[in-house]
Amino acid sequence: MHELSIAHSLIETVEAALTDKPDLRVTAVNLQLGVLSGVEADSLRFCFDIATADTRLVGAKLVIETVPARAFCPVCDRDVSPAAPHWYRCPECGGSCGKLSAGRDLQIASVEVLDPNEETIDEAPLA
Amino acid sequence: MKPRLLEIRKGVLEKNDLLADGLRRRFHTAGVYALNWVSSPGTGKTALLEATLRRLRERGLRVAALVGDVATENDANRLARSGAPVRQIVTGGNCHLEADMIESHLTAAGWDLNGLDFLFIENVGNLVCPSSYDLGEDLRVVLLSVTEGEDKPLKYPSMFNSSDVAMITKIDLAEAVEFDRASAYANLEAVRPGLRVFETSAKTGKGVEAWVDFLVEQRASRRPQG
Repeated sequence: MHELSIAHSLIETVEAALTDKPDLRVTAVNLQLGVLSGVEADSLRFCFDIATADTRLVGAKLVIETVPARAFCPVCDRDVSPAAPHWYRCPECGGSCGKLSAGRDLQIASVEVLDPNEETIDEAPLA
Repeated sequence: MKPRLLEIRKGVLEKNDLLADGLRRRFHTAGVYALNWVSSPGTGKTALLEATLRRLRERGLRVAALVGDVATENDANRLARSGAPVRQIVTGGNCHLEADMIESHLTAAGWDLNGLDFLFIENVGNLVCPSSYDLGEDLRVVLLSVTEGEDKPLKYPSMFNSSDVAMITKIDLAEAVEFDRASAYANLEAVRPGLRVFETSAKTGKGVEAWVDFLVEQRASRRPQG
């Protein structure tokens, strides 16, 4: 159960990417999570909600895209999607595949942000 | 006020990975071969590590160990009997080691890396969480004892397929617990084809010499890159 550590690292990574934009509020984080990342999506969501309190990510939605395992099969000469439990075998021919090209992912693709300063400008004519 | 999308494309563990890369460079420059030992609790990591430290020291090699534990200093006390410098990392509930813990404990220990040939890092007993954290090691060793189920590799594929070597421990008990060797090897091969497998008994010493030979060879073959 290291999802709380992962949640803290996730917040740290987002903060690091937005250091030059201190005013932005984060409303959603789009995360790519590999089936073999060793991270459990539900428990990460639970920890994310707790860990984001008192940060600019408070209330943000954690949107998780599950990334299936992908590997190149030299026999079939194309990318294949291995599945449990044979993560390193081609599901078509049963041959041995090399390293996985995807499936261990733990990557922030993007964040959805709000700029509170924009609001002031937009609303000014109405006042 | 409309939300907009900002692309980030950054690994969540990027900071850990950068620290680990820095450690790996330091280890290589100093000629240190670093190992990260992972397993479930009770596979005999500490016993085999103690035997490994002793044999390497007998061969005149300079070794040290960092030992992770959730709550106690028992493992460090056991390993210190080998005569090697040992430092305990008590994680205070954390289920895995991270690169910044290795860095700060190396600093606190005050070891001169140039005076070391091998650094052993014994991770917290856990087959899930440590798999995500690179510690700057050259070799990740996953231990599997004959008293566990032969299907452990299938249950914890992330740990086993991120490892470079699998070590079957407590081999002296294989017969008593009816260890199914063929099935264990087939499962290891399924999650990580070509994985190098060793069998050892820290109690009888069986297989330990071959394992230590392998470590010495690995370090020698890596050294020119340093």
